[in-house]
Order: sequence, then C-alpha cells, then structure tokens
Amino acid sequence: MTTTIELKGLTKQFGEIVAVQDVDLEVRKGEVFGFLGPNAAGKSTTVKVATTLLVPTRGTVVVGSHDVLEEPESVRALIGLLPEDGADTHYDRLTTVENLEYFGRLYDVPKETLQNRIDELLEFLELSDRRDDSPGTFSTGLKQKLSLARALIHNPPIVFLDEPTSNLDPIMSRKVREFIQQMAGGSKQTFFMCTHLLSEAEHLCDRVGFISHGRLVEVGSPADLRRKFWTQRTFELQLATGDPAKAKSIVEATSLATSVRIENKRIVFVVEKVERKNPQIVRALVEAGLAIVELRERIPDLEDVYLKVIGGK
Amino acid sequence: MLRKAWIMAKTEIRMVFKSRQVKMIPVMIFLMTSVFAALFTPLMIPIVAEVGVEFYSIMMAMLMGTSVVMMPAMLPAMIAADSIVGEKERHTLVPLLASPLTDGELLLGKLLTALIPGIIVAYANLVIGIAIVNGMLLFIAPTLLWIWPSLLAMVQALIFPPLLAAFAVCLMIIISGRVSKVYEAYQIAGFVIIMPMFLVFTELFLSTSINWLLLFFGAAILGIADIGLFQLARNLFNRDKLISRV
Repeated sequence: MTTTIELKGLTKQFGEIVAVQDVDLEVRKGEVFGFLGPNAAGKSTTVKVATTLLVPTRGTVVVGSHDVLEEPESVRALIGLLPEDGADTHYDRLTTVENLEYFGRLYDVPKETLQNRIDELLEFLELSDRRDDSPGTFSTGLKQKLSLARALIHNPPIVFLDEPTSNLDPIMSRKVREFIQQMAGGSKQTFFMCTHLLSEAEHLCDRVGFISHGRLVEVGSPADLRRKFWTQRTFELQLATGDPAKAKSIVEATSLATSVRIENKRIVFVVEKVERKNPQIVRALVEAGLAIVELRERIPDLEDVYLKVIGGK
Repeated sequence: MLRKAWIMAKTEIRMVFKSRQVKMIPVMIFLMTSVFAALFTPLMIPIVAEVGVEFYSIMMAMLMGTSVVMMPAMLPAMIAADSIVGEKERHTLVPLLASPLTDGELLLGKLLTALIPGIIVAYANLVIGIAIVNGMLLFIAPTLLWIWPSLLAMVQALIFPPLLAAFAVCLMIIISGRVSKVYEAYQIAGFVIIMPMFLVFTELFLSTSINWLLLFFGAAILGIADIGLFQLARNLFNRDKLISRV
C-alpha cells in the first residue's frame, strides 16, 4: 500500500510548551487511521500541522506526496477537514446549501457536479429538509453533520476528521461510521481521525496510534495491539449452583491461575497456557461438586489496550 | 488569483449586507451628504456678492469634498476591521484557512469584500451630493449651476475614495489579523477613519493651490502606498500565528 500521510520527526512547540514531539508515522492510502489519546495529548495539533494550519517546529510532514511547508496549497487541495469544534464553524448568514456551495467553489468543484454532490450529501446526512435554513437555527448535531458534508464536498482523497461523531446521536454516528468505511473501501479515500470513542476506533479503524504527552507511543491494528499487550488471557466462569467464594478458593488452590477474583457472582481468572491449564481448573471445580453453566473468554477491547498503554505512560 | 478572491468577495459581501448595522452605514453617509448639500448650498448664496463666485466655489468644494471623499472610507474600514478577527471569533476561520486559497487570494478576497461596497457607496454618495447641490442651485441661483463639482473636483471625488478606502482596508486587514477580539479592531478602525479626515482637511488648506499635477501626484503616492500596504499585509499574514494566538 502507498503511504499517503508521512510524518518524520514531527515536533511542534508553542513557546516552551512541546505539544508534539518526534512523531514518526505513516498512514497508507485507503486506510482509516485512528489517532487516540487523552486531552491535550497532541492529536489536534498533529492534524493542524498536517492540514497546513500550523507550521512544524522540526521534522517533515508529507501529505499526498506534497510537503506541507513547500506546497501548502497542493496539500490543501487534496484534503478535507472536519476541525475540532467543527459544529461551530459555519456561516450563519448563509443557508446550508450556500455554505456548501461556497466551499465547493473554493475547492474548484465544477458547477454541474457541485449541485449533485450537495444533494447527495444532504440526502445521506438527512439534512435535505433543512437545505434553505441557516445553520444558526441548527442543533449541535445538525451543525456537526453540515461540517462533515463540507469536509467531503470536493470528494477529497485524504480526509482529516477531528472527533467526527461527537454531538451525533447513536443512529447517525453509526451511519457516519458506515459511510467512512464505504468511502475508504477499495482504497478510495484515506481517513485520519482523532477520536475519544475507543469503540468507534475499534470498529472503524484499520490501524490506530496512541499519543500521550505529544509522543506517539503505539501504532498498530486493534487486533495486533491486543495481542501485544495481552499475553495472558482472562476467563469468566458462572456457576449454576454453589458458592462463588468456594469456587474461587478451589481455583486458587490449583495454583494454575495468575489471579482469581469474583465479579458479580462470577469467578474471573487469568491464565497462561490455556490449553493445558483450563481443563485442569474445570475438572477441579466439577470434582468439588460445582455445576458450571458458562465459561467464556473475556476479550480485551481497545479501551483495555488504551488504558494499559496510556495509563502506563 | 482574482477568480477565487472574487468567489470569496461575492459570498462575503452578501453576508456583510445581511447585517442591519452595516446596512445603516451607507444610509447614514447618504443622509449626512444630503444634509451637508441641502444646508450649505443655500446658506452661502447671500454672501456670494461679498466673497465672489470663485470663493463660493472653493467653499463648496471643501464642504462637499469632506462629505464625498472622507465619509465613504467609513464603510470599508468597518467591514475590514471584522475581516479576519471576526472570522476567528465566529470560528469560521479554520475551514477557510484549510481551503486551497493562497495567502494572496484570501487577502485579495477580504480587500474586495470591503472595497467594492465602499466604492459603490462612494459613487452613489457623489451622485446624491451633485444632484442635491445642483438641483437646489437650478431653482435658487441658476447662474451658479455646476459651480460644484468642477472637473478637477469631480476627478478628485472619483479617484480618491477608492484609493483612501484601499489604504484604510489594507491597514485594517493587517490590524484585524493581529488583534484577538473584534471590538479591539473596531476601536482601531475608528482611529483609522480619522486618517482620510486628516487628508481631506489638509486638502482644505491646499485647495486654493490644488491643481491637476498635485492631484495626480497625490493619487500616485496613495496608489503606491496601497500596493505597498497590500504587499505588507501579505508578508505579515501567518496562518500559524492566527491559529495559535489566543
């Protein structure tokens, strides 16, 4: 896959404050890349540098084979941006359509294509009935939808989205996620998105990067990161009858589990070498007269990985 | 460069004139010119015999010059004051800066947004002034008809408002990009408007000696200053500082 966004040794300082430090990152064409991190970690600053709004203090940033310092106009022509607080970035004295027409023209979208594109986006984002209204009369969620439409009006090959589904209801959030997946499918568009919603990143992103205190700490697919940070596996066991405390002491007595605890009347234990140890634990419980209803693995999600990576930094 | 600047200017002019406050500025300018013309034209007629026709002509040029040259600079200065800091305050600056506009296109767009309404208002104001002065003279002193504007005064009223407005606009765009709040820009705009007033009053004292050479020399200097100031605005324009300034 071709690299479409490349950050090499990117550092951005605001006076003495280092917002982003020595970030090396490659985002591939057609990829949905999630940029995760706590508040003030440097996510939005990275996006602002990559979209030519800020100048890097050190390092290079290449977007779509154009250097952000040498060819900023070429970079801007290739990208779409849904900025941080995107919901508040509309002209209230223009209607929905006029807002989109304005940016469509600035991005050189041919007149005949522009109207179709506007209709298509408004239809998809369920804004058609508000096309002649001012965004000043919109709820935050509707404004956010309009911001998304504006970012995509020129069908850009590279899209930067800073918290794209914030302020959207769950149904619309899902629609937007499906839309992004559809657009990115077949290497059509590359999405670089900052998000706080780990479940969103888990379902949507091909790869994610964790940033903390301005440093990129981990990059990989959600599955790879899970494997990397979870060498031990966690299981939960539910009894039909019997005392969970008794079951806990039996599991502890086997000395096969790394840790055992009770959560909501379920016994949760962590083991290594599952194939050998789990049958022995189950046998010990059955032999003690306990009836097991369910034994299932607890799969760590991206949130667990995130807490482990960011929490440890 | 002009095409995208024009797209910007067309849209922004439409937005600017949706504001009731902005719409009031030309109305006030037209009103003041009408009052000036209606008041001074007949007021000085009784003294023509005493001071002579030539002096009456000079006085009319001074009074009407103030109205048709100075006042039209108010509107573009106020529009330009809001141009960058206003967008920042309303959070609309980031999408605009992230669009493929070059610095030159963006600044030219802002310049045209403020300048075009200013020029239209200036010329409309001139027509109103001429119509009222000569309309009144036609009935009360037909011998003094077309005493104002002389050809020189007419050329002056056509050339200077756009040049003065462009100067005020370029200056206000620079200021608008360097302040943090719209009200700060408006406060400075008030001071900037005083500059053309100063120029007009200087002209009042020079008006007896003003001639074509002085007019074109003054226009050339102002034109060069406009170009220099626009270039300065371009050099000072810094997206990074605009975004990172609190």
